[in-house]
Amino acid sequence: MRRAAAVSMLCILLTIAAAAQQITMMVAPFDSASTGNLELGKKTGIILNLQVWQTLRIPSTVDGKKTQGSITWDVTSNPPTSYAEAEALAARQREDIPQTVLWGRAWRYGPGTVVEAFLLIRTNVPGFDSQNVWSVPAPDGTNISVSLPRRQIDFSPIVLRGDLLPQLEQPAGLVLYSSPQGSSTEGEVGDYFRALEQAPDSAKVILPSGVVGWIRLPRLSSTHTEVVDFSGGVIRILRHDWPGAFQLFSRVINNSHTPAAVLVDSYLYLALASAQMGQSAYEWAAKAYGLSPYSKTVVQYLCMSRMSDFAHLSPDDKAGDRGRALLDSLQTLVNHSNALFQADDAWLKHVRLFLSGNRSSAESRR
Amino acid sequence: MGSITDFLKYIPEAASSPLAFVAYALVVLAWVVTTWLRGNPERKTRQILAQFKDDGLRLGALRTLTNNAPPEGLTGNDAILEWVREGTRSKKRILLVVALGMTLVAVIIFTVAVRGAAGASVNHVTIILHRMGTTRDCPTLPESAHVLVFPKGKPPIDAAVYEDCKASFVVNAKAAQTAILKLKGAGGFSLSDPDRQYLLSLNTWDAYLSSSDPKQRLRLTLFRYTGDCDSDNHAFSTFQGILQTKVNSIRGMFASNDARYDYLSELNIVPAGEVLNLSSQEIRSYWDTTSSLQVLSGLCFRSNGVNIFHSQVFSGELSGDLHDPFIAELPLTPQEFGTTRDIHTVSVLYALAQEALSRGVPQDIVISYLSHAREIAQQVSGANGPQLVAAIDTSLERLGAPAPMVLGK
Repeated sequence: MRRAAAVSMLCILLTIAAAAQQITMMVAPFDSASTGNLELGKKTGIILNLQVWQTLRIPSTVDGKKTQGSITWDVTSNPPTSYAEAEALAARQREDIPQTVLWGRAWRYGPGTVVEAFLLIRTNVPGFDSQNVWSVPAPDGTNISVSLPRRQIDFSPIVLRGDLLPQLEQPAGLVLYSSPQGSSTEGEVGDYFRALEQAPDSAKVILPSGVVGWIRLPRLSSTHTEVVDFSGGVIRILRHDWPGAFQLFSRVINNSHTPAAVLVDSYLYLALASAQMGQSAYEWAAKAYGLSPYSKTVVQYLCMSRMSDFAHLSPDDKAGDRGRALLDSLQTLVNHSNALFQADDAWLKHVRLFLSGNRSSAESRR
Repeated sequence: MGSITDFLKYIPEAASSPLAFVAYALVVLAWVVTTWLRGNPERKTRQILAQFKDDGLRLGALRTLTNNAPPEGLTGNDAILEWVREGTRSKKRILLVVALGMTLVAVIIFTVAVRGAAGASVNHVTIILHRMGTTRDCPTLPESAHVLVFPKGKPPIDAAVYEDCKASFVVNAKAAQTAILKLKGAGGFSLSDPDRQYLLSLNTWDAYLSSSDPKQRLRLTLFRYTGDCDSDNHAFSTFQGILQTKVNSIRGMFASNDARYDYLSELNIVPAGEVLNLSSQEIRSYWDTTSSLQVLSGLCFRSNGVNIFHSQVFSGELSGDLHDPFIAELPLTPQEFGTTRDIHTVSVLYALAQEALSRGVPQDIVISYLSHAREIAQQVSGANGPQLVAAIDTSLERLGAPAPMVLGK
């Protein structure tokens, strides 16, 4: 990233360990030009930024402890208006290179205001392998892997609370309070600040002037939005914080307003997290299948859950009824779903090899 | 002074006009002929003097030549020549007057030519190329594209295309002069009306292009929504913005490493710039000739105190199992924002699936479009949701997509 831009960017870092892999989410300013109020997009972005920041935590897993999570907030760039622009904005960063970008747009719609939030999961970030996030060993010594479910997530629109609009639209910055509760203030929050401490619905920050205070983080909508939980969950997945991711994606699936596509992905992330924690992923993959039975990705995760379950069996169980049932189930799934894959799909071929190899091994053991 | 200056200004152009050439020929002819005629008596006299040595014979021949009897005792070559000169002087004057008269006629003709040139004017013409059926959509022509202008009676003009869809040239033409156009190096585009005559005196020409590859339909033509509850077009602009954001993201909905989906990045919204005012048959024809995936139009009206957005989506032969036009009536409220977005997204994905199917695109791609559409359609509330899911399921069944399995534990 250019030096000037680096200076203009606020970095909120939760440092876990030195020289660790850094997982960064960049929050771009939200585009609210069409509402005629630029402040609205900016403040919405800041609030979501800090709300996602509050989901950062020290992972409990061994791998997770080697990572550090961060949220960066870009105050100088033009707000992106498409995934391509969000990608271009992220690609310009030279420090704290983000793996994900949260961006959005605000619209006046009828008598109210709606914010669309989008999450981009980048695929071409050095040192970040989004293609092999879940692997199971195949009999030939190779691994069968799947990539992250989807790299563009369109969240459900956030209908901004009417009582919050005056505060979001006023030209001055967000109010800096002296404490998480109470009405005593320390002035306003500008474009630059650093977050220090998490608290329920508020974040302690320090301004460049050294003034310390609290930013209140109100619910933007009268209905609970899945944006924060899902975005936080993705960061935890990328940091290999499987229990943490499980916790946040569980919240997403229990949110009745979560759109189906986000729900499908959340089930797939739950499957991934479960498998990484040594549990069966099948239940979650099956739920995703229930919502999206024609999705190739869902079928891949379903196959992965069967293969993962098989891989966790003891050699005797693999050759026994349990192993045979899993392979039969996998075989049925593969045969049934053939039309969802490209002719001669390499991944599907690999799964067929997994089946034949393990069947042979089981036969020879019997 | 000004008129003389103007006159002089047009001389260079008039000098090359056909009328000027008539004047030149007249002057040359007049002077060549009169000069020859004026010198003729002397030339013949010299021949007589050279031919006859006897004075009697000479005088006889001179009488025949001049129709005058030479005076008695006229002898000597010089004296005879002087007598002939004197005798033809008045005839020579007449010939000179004739030559001068013809020169005057030539000058008049040339003046007419100059006045003719002054009647034409130097005109800077900008040709703006539009996609047929629109007034604002600039097609992205290849850099190699040129427009050839063929003015009547003038040599053709070659104008390179710039800014994707513009071409400019300068021409000297009269008000009534016209030209036709041809396109060169324009890839899959061609002129919708190649015989159309364009007035050279106009500064801006609007020419309309058709895509010559009607197979791939990646254009959403958006007619301006009208109605009494959106006088400032704000709701329509917002709708257009929402749709644009969605259309821009469609490529990214599918596997980034599968190049078979790359063509989706060409999907675009083309604002027609006007309100749709066509009959059903005309809309179908418009949809077809503009290679649209969908043609959208609608209106906004007020019902029970709520503004309603009535959207019509024409998908022509790609409407599949949906009614054409597919109609969605959505309250213009923040709570319905998501439904509005989702319905149109599903409808685009469904049309893309039908379009891919019509081109023989591999089945797994068609299924993936329908699969994504189905995911979103499930959450669409109101009558449109089940309608869309049913159409998608019928298409999937027809395609031979695997029916959802009942999964065991």
